[in-house]
Amino acid sequence: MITLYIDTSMDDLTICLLKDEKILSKKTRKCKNEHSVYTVSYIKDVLDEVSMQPNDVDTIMVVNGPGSFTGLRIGVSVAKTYGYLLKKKVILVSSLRQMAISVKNQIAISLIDAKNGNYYMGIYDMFDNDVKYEKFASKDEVILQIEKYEDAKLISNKKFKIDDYEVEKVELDIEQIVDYYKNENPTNIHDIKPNYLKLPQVLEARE
Amino acid sequence: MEDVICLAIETSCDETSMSLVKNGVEDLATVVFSQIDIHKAFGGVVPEIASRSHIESITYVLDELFRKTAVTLDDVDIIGVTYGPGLIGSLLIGVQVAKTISLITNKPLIPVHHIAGHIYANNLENRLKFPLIALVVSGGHTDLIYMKKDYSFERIGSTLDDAVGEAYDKVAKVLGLSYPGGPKIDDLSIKGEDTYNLPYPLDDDSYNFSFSGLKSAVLNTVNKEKQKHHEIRVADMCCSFQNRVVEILTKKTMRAISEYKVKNLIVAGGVSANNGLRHKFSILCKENKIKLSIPKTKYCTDNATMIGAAAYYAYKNNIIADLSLNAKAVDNLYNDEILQPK
Repeated sequence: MITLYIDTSMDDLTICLLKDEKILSKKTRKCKNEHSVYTVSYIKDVLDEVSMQPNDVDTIMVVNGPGSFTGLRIGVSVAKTYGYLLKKKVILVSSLRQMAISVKNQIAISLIDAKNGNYYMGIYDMFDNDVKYEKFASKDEVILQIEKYEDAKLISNKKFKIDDYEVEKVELDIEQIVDYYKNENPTNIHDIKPNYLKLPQVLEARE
Repeated sequence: MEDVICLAIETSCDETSMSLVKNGVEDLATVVFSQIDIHKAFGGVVPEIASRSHIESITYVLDELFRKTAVTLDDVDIIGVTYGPGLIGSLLIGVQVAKTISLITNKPLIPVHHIAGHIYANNLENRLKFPLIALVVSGGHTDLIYMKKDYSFERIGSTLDDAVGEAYDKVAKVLGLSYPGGPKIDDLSIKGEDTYNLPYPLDDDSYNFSFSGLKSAVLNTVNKEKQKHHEIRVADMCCSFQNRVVEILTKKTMRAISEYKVKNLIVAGGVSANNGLRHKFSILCKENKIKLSIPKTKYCTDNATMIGAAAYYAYKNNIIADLSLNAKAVDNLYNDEILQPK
């Protein structure tokens, strides 16, 4: 089975082609506000590198959030269009969960900076597969959870401190991620949208 | 010559639209999903909500498009897309969709300037005759363009602040008319009289426009009358405002026609649906023996058909983008290298 993995959720753009759970080709770059330029070109590059055609892909896995709104929309619009026109399965990957999968700790708290002292937070217990939860949280809420789950590993896409707690940077293990998600049910293509975890400002103001 | 079928995509503002256009002139199928009802609640287009809505509609619009016609994706020869100007978050979605389709089909990707689309909307009914002057008036644009030949654009004037349609919407808001207010002002102005002493906006020798001063004059008058507890005569205000706008647009356009010695005038963009503007131009063009073309109303507002119409001529002029094409919000595009033939 050939999987095309697309992650445009954060500053690191990653496009990867896998056969079963083994990476065939991969392109990645630091990409501040340039996902629009590189995403489709990189898909062509990873296919060309192993002399494959777009139609050789069986499944698209796209990271649909949370993360940069614009970034998410770029990955999701490409995955939707590709999946719809070539009738491919599209599986949605959580940006928070994929970090937890990559560290292989029993309990992990994944954090993504959501600006202004807020975070996207996911709490996972890898032994029982339940998502404890994924949400948009204030710093105080995050600290509350850190204190509650003492054994949890604190992880993010970059290294930083939240009060005195060290948050580790995670290198994504795409083979593990694809292995984890391979049996997920594909989502109906028309229903696919970014998982923003946060309302547009104008709606927040109304709440 | 072989037929060229363009799959065209337009998402520059609050319409998700796709179209199949043959040889730049024949509308085979078009779908326009308008978000107007979503944005009405906010009194105008909210960019973040527009982007979110585009991404939810893209595959539905594709689905409906191919249901409307026997043409299949295999029949498509070129992919045309609006890459700017417009709302960046909205443009980006159309550009990704277009690039993905170009990757999948291995067909050329044609970047289309939104204004070129508005002008080429005329081609769907009557072939453009050159040289011509085009006035493009919409919620985002007020441009006066000279075209010597197909797909050559020289912008000779533009708005220095608000676009004309934007001024209409803002004035409508001040007068308590619901969004989109342009058509309402147009309707009411027929019922009113030109009694308010509003200034002529940027009545100078240039081909540029400015509407923010006129808009402020309306606002100030309304506020002063309110302070004096006088009622605003809404229809009269609409009439006075519309008269100033129409007067300045037609005056500068007719001067350009005479200076550039052209016999053809194109009026395009959403505001070209304005009855006051259409009426004045038709009188002036008749007097001066100028051929006036205004697209059908359905091609005046944003739609992908016009993008397909323009993409054909862009393609004929060898204007082709690669998969690194990006969206551009700002309008510095007439000299854009993307628009230069390869």
